[in-house]
Amino acid sequence: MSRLIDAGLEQLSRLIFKMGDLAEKTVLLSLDCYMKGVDVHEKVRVLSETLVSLSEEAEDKAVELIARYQPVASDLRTIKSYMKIAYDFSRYGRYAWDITHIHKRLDIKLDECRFPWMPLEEISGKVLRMVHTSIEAIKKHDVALAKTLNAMEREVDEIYYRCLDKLVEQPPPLTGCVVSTLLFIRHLERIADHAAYIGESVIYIVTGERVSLR
Amino acid sequence: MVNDKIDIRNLNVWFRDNHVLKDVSFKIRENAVTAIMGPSGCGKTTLIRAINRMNDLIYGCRTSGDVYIDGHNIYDGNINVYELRRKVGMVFQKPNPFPKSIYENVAFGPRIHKVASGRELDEIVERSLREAALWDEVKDRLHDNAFNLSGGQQQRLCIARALAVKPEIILMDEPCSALDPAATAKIEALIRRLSKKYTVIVVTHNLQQAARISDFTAFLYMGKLIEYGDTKSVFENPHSELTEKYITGKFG
Amino acid sequence: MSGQTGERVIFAILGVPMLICMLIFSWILSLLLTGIGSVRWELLTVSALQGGMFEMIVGTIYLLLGATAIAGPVGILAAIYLVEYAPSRGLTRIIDQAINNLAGVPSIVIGLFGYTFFCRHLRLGVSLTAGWLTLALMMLPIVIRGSEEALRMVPASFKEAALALGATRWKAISSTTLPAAAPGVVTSVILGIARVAGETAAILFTSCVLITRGLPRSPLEPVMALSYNLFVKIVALGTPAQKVFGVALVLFMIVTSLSLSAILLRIHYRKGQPWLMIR
Repeated sequence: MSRLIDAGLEQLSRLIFKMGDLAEKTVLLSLDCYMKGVDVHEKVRVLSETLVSLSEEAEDKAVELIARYQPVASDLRTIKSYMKIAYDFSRYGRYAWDITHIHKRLDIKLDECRFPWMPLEEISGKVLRMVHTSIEAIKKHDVALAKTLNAMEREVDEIYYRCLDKLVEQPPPLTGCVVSTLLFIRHLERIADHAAYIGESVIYIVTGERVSLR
Repeated sequence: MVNDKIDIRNLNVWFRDNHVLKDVSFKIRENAVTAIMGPSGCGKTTLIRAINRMNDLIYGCRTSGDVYIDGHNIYDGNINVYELRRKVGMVFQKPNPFPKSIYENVAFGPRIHKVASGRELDEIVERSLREAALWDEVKDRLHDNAFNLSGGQQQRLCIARALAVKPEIILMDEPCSALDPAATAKIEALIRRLSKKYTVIVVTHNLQQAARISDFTAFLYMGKLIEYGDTKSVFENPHSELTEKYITGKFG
Repeated sequence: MSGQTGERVIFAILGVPMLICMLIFSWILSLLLTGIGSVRWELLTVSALQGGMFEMIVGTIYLLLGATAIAGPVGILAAIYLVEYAPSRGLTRIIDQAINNLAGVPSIVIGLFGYTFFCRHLRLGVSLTAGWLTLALMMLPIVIRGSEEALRMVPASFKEAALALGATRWKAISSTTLPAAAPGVVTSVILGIARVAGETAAILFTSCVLITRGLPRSPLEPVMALSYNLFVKIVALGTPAQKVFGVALVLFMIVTSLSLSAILLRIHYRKGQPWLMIR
């Protein structure tokens, strides 16, 4: 039985899913940029701005649904969470842009900057997987999938703090590299956090419980 | 200190062979607004009428189970039903003032219970009309016929009439369903105010109204109590699948 | 176009009987007015022994008062019982049927019953009392029916509101339903009086004689009445029509004024029954 609110909910969902795909693409691009030195700075900037305006659109739509249809229970939780998730996706875009920006701004030669002990592929791989998982979880409203983000987030945190410790020990001439690497893993860690937030929202939508995956 | 005013235990009501209320049990908090919602025919009206024993007046009605008010079982043999109905007031869906003057309407209750007369009665009438937020609108025409008032005013008059006998509990059966939005808003605000002093129970099939005005919400379906809890929880995250379906409009 | 012609035809078909009724009524009226010649105001207050109608008029009034005093309260109380207290559906239906049957009994049969039971069996003889009882029997169905309807027209919501305030059953009925039904009840009583005012057969052998010496001194004495007088004069005495029309006119005016007052009362009290108006 279709209700008046269903059409609006459908629209909002599609918008969120679209944002998710876009955000994933943006993060992927930025990692390419940092890891392989590809110059996609401008592209990423545009994508990030698109994500911001899409999140505003999603927020407006959510507020409209609330004002017009007085949603309750799962509808209300869904709409509230989608507003948060839209913001989280726009954050993906923003951090992705920050990553490409470090590279451009600090003008570091990547080959000079690789720390042998730095598990760049590992950490960026994990974060990419988290981004992908969070998007899948929201598309399917899958609680089990969302819960896997818990373990992944902890792993990312662990690598992050390990790297921090190691970076503190580095000798001065490599300061530029240190700053660049530091910022890079910091942005990755934040992306991971937001992926965990998205997982928490999925669990809240489905079960109504507020849990922490961090 | 929170207190439960009414304790309903295993309440069953039959109208001839029709089993209208099935084993309903829950407690109603004192000085709060409790909303009872559910689809048409689910037994909401029968439930509140069991609290002031108005069901007794219906031919062929049978009740089993207990309803305790302040610890006393109102279905006990030696309960004075007329005193019970003074303590538990009722406001009906369609405003039903007596075809008398405004004053006489409010004075009716105190008169039949021989509570007051003369000066004292005047004071009771004024107090009740003030409590029902109607005094200012009618103070200059207390002896006008009640039927000259608008629908919303008539309903507030009925509320004043119920308040005049100093009840402790007020039962309201869809009090706003015959009124326009402006009158409805006034009555809803009145209900919130009244709950500070009285225990108010409102039957409504308007979900948003239940969400707006109540502290606790009970959901009845086909005579059974499906869910009961504080309004915020029931409307944000209901325990029962059935409740979820009903309040999100997936059936109704 | 056929729609309009059809409408006109219906209007004509429905209007013709109305016209006929009015014609008959005017003819009756004109007939009665021929009797106006033989009525002079003084006759109304002069004793029959001197050619007046005094005892007849007072006799009719006595009969009506007594019958009302019996049928009124009994009928109203019966109506209240039937509407408010009668429990099971089956019994009420039987009682309803009985009342309907009573209403349909021919007045001569009631008169015969009255004579046999009241005059002979109860040894009341031909008396005012027997007349009261017999006329009351005729009035009863009208009063009960009318009062029942008046009571049923009062919205049950008034009674419910009173009950919810803690009133006992009787208090609720007496303070809400009865006052609201009062106009209708009074109207039905008046209509009952109008019905029996012109009754002849019922009082024929139960209470009336052609002439009495003065007014009856006790209810056990017989009485003179307008309708009886009319009957006897025409059938037994062969009085010429003109002379009798005077009596007929007086009787007619009494009954008509009663019916008229019932109608006027009903109209007047409608204003005080706002629940009858559609909101």
